[in-house]
Amino acid sequence: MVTDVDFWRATGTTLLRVLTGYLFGIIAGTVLSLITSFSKITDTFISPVIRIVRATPVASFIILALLWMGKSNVPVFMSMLMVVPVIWGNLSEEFASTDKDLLQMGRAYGFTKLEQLRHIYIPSAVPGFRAATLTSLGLAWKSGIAAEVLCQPKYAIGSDLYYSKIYLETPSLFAWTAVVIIMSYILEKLIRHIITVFEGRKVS
Amino acid sequence: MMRIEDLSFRYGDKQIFSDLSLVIPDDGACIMGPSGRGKTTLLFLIGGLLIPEKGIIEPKPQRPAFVFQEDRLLPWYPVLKNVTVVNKNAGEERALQILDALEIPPDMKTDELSGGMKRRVALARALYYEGDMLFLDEPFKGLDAILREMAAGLILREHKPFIITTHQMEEAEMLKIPVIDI
Repeated sequence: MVTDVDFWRATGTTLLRVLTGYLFGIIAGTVLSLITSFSKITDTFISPVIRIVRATPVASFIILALLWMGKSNVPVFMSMLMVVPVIWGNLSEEFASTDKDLLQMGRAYGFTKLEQLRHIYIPSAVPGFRAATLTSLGLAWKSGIAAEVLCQPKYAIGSDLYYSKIYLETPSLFAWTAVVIIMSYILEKLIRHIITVFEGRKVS
Repeated sequence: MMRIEDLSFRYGDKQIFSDLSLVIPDDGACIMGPSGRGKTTLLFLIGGLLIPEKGIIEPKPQRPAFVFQEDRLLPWYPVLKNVTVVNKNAGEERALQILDALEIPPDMKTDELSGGMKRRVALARALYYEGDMLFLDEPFKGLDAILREMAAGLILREHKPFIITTHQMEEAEMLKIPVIDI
């Protein structure tokens, strides 16, 4: 299978879709947590919506998304949708539990809102953010492939999994499942490494 | 001279001060009293970190520089950054001078510091801030006699008014300021 060009095309395309959704999810989750944590009005409107998204089954969203967008985009959208609530939830909790003594110290020394965010809120939230990025990576990967199974876009691990099932090719089904697990493992290692390098740079 | 008149303050149901009046001389004062009497609360009220229920504090400090009892250093920054983060205009050279005088290596990580070293970094930060008045909440806690004298010398060299809380009479004597018992 690995000597086949289509294998690499499917794996690469799936990877690209999932990582795109993952990245957008991290950005959207971070922005939303900043908005809801520091503005009560936006929190009132946005937080319930995110909680609904978190509670809704993935399959319902995949089918809905399939009606609204092209089938190549659904896996990207689903990966993003699974990442947003995790990043938002963890970051919001971290922001809410920021050390009040440090915030008072910041006020005493005349920190602006932006300085409070930069020097106190964001560094405090790093451990939670790190945990959320790793947890949500697995979710992005699984939901992205689940979306591919239901949408069957061209060049996709999910589509190949689906065809293996349709044509009762059990060895192929196992082989693709193994690919999914190995890729998930490699991705997690890669993200862990990126976070460690990034944190190392921030400290020095 | 700072005038405090009819100051009242409560934390929830607990009344801390009721119509407290006192005068703080131009050079500052040492607030003494047993634990739980409200020394830190009074320091925060004068420095503007807490709002009194009622009362007058005049003149209010415009740029108070605090040394908190719990240090309140930013654990993700090394020593030098912990000091320079409070003042963008003073220049790193001054921070290095203060840290050198207090015998703290500027590139040490905050979690590698001993209790006494953290205390000195907190003091260095307050001095670097260039405030108009220093608010020192038990600044010598955990320092030995030599370091105490060194820190006291630095505080006096600033020639700025300061209010200090302490349990030790000799600290007030060392700083040559009047004592206010609460």
